[in-house]
Amino acid sequence: MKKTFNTGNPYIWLSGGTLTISLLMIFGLVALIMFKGLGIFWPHNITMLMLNDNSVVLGEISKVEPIPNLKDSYRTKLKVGNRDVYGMDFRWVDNSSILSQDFPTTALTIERREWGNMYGFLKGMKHDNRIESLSLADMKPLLKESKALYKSIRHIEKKEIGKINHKMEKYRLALKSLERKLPSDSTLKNIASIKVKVEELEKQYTEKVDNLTNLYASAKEKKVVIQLADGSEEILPIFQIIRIYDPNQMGVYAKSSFYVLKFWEFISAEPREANTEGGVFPAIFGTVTMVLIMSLAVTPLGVLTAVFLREYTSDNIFSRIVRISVNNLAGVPSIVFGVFGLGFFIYFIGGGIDKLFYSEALPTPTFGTGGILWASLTLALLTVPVVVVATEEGISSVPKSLKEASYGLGATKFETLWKVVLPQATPGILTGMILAMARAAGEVAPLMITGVVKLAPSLPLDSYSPFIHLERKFMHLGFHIYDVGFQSPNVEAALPMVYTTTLILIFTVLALNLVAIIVRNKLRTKYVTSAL
Amino acid sequence: MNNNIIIKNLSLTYGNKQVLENINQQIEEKKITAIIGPSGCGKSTLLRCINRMNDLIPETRVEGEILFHEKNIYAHDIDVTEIRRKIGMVFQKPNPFPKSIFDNVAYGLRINGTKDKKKVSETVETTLHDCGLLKEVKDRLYTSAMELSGGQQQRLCIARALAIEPEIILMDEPCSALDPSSTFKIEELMMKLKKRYTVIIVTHNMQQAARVSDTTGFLYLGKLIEYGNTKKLFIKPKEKLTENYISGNFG
Ligand SMILES: Nc1ncnc2c1ncn2[C@@H]1O[C@H](COP(=O)(O)OP(=O)(O)O)[C@@H](O)[C@H]1O
Ligand SMILES: [Mg+2]
Repeated sequence: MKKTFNTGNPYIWLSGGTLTISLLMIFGLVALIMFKGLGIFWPHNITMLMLNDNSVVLGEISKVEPIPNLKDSYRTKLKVGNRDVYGMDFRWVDNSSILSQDFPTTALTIERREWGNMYGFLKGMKHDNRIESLSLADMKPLLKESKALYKSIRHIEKKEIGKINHKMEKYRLALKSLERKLPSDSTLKNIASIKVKVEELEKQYTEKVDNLTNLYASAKEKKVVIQLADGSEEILPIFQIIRIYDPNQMGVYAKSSFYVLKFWEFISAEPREANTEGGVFPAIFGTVTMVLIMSLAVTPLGVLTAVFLREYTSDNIFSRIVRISVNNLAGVPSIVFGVFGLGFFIYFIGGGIDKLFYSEALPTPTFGTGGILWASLTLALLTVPVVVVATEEGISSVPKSLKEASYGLGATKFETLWKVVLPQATPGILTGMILAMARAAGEVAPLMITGVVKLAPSLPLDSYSPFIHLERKFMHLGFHIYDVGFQSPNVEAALPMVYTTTLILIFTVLALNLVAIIVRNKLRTKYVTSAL
Repeated sequence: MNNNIIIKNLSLTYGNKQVLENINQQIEEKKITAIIGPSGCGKSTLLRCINRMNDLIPETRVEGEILFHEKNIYAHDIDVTEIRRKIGMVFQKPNPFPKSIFDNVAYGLRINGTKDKKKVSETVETTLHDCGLLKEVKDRLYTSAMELSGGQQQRLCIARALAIEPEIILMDEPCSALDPSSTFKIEELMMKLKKRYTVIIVTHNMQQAARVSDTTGFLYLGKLIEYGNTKKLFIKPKEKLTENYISGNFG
C-alpha cells in the first residue's frame, strides 16, 4: 500500500480525475444550456389530441413525464397557446384520457404581436358577413403588406414623433432657463419666438397622431378567421400576425431555414410583450457598450496603479498597504460596489453635474440617476484589481537588460517606461483587460442599482447629437435573463428564452474575449523577446 | 580639452559588501583600455560606475570621484542622462529591443529629440555601415531585430550605442556569448572604433585583451592590482598576482 503511494501514481490519478470532473462539469453546463436554449426556435409539430370527455386539444407537446406514485402512467404537457382565449399557454393532459393522437396537416402555428402563439386552422378571410376561403400561400402578400404597415407605424412612433419630442424637450428647457432670467426685451423676444416654434411643433405632433390613428384603423380592416381545436372561431386582424406556418407539412430544409430566420430575429430584433417574445438586440448592445466603456475606464486606471506600484515605489509599508487593499477589492461583494456607485457616482458626481450643467431640467435628473456611464465606472472599480495584478506581472516580466539598454542610451525613467516597458507589458495588460471584461460582462447585481432596466426606450447610441448618450439607462443580457425568467408575467412560456439568452450572453463574452485575445497575440508576436 | 576619464579613490559598496576599493585609474583618449580579472572581482561594477548605471541598483554607495571633462560625474548638479548619452554602453548579452532593426538604432536619436526623419534614417544607415552590418540587413531594416543572429545582435547593440555619437564606449564582455567568428568581427570593429572613440572593455579573455587593447588593468578582489601598457603587462608584469593570473595559475 505504502509502496503504491510512494510511486506517486495515485496522485496522478487523483489530479487527472479532478481535472476530468471539472471539464465534464463545464461541458455539461454548456451542453445543457445549448440543448435547452437552441431548441426553442425549431418549429415543433402540432399535435391534436382527442380526449375521452369528447374534447379536442391542439398544441405542441413540450414534455411527457411519469406521474409520481402511479405505475406506468404518464402525463403530457402541451403548449396550447391562445392565451387570450384559454387564459394560459400550457395545459397538462393525463395520457390515460387520450383516445387518439393526430398530426393534422392543415394545422397552423400563428405568431402574433400580442398574446403569444395561436394554434388552429385557417378558415378564410372575413368580409362583413361572409368568409372568403383563403390558402396559406394567399396569406403571403397580405402579411407583407401588414409588415410594411407595421414598419411605417413604428417609423412614425419612434423616429418622427421621437424627433418632435426631442425638439420639444429642448425648447421646454430653453424656455425654463429664459424664464428664470430677469425679463428684458431680448429675453421676452426670445421667449416669444420659442413659443411660436413650440406651437408649430405641436401642430406637427397632432398631424402625426392623426396619421397614426388612420394607420391603426386601416390595420384593423383585414381580418382572417381561425378555427380553434374546439371548433370555435376567432377573428384575427392580419396586422396582428407576425408569422404563420404549418409545421406538420414542413420538411427538414424548410424547418432549418425557419430556424435560422428565427434565430436571426432573436439576436437582431427588439423584445416584445414584456420581453417574453421578440429579440434581445438592445440587451446585447447594452452589454457590449457597457463592457467597452468599462474597459476604457479600467485600463488606464489599472495600468497607472500598477506602474506606480512597480516602478515608482520601493517595497515599503505604503506600497504594501496599497497592494493589499487592491487585492482585497477583488473580494468585496459586488453589490457593495453597486451601493458605492449609487452613492458616489450617481448622487454625488451625477447630482453635481446636473446642478452645474443641466439645472434647467431639474428636478428631473439627467446624470443624477442610473445610466450606462455610472454602471460602467462602477464595474471598472470592481475589475481594477484584475488589471493591476496582470499589469504588474507584465511589467515584472520585462527583462532588466532591456531597461538597462534604454537607460544606457540616456533615456529617462519615463521614456524607458513609455517606450520599452509598457509596449513589452502590453500582452500582460491585455490579459488583465480580458479577465476584467469577462468579469464585468457577467456581473449583474451592481448594475441593478446603477442603471440597468428591463426595457430601455432607446439605445445609448443614436442619431441625435451628441450621438452617445452616456446618461441613458440600458438593457443588459444578465439582467434580461433574470427579468425574463423570473419577473415576467408569463414565466412558463418565457423559460426557454432564459436558456437562449444565457447562450447569447456566453457567446457575447466569448466574442469580446476572442477579439481581445487575437489583438494580444498579434502584439505578442510583435514583441517576442530573444531566447538569448 | 582633456576628455580622459580620471578615476580617483573610487570605492563602492552594495549594502555592506565592499566591491571596489580605492581605485585610481586614468583612461587615455582614443585608445582601447581593457580591464581583466577573475570572475566576481568587480570588473562590471567598475565599468558601470563610469556611466552611473549602478544608480539603478538600490543600496549602492559610491565614494571617490570619476572626472569626465574635469567634472565629477557624481557631483550633485550632474544630469545623469547627459552622462549616459556621452558614455555609451554595450552589455554582456546582446539586448536589442524587440523592435525593428531600424527602430533599435533610431531609439537613442529619437529620445534625444532628433525629429527630422531624413536625418534619423541617414544616421541609422551610416551607423549600421560603420558597424559592418548594413550589407547584411539592408533589405530587412524593418523586420524584428530578434531575428538576427547573436553576433549580429551584438553589433546592432554597438550601432545603437554609436548612433547618438558618444565620446566613450563601455563594453562589458561583449563577446562572451558569441562564437569565434562573431568575436573576430567585433574585435575588428573595436580596432576601427578606436580612431574615433575611447573604448573601455571588460573581458575575462586574456588573449582578447592582449590582441585589442593598448592599456590593461588587472582587477583582483575589488582592487586595481596593476595598470599599464598592455604589452608590458603581459610580457613583464610587475606584480606577482598579475603574473599568476596571466600564466593561468588561478581564476
Ligand atoms: N546588485 C548587486 N547586489 C549585491 N552584490 C552584487 C550586485 N552585483 C554584483 N554584486 C557582487 O559584486 C561583486 C562584483 O561583481 P561584478 O562586478 O559583476 O564582477 P565581474 O563582472 O568582475 O564578474 C560580486 O561579488 C557580486 O556578487
Ligand atoms: Mg561581469
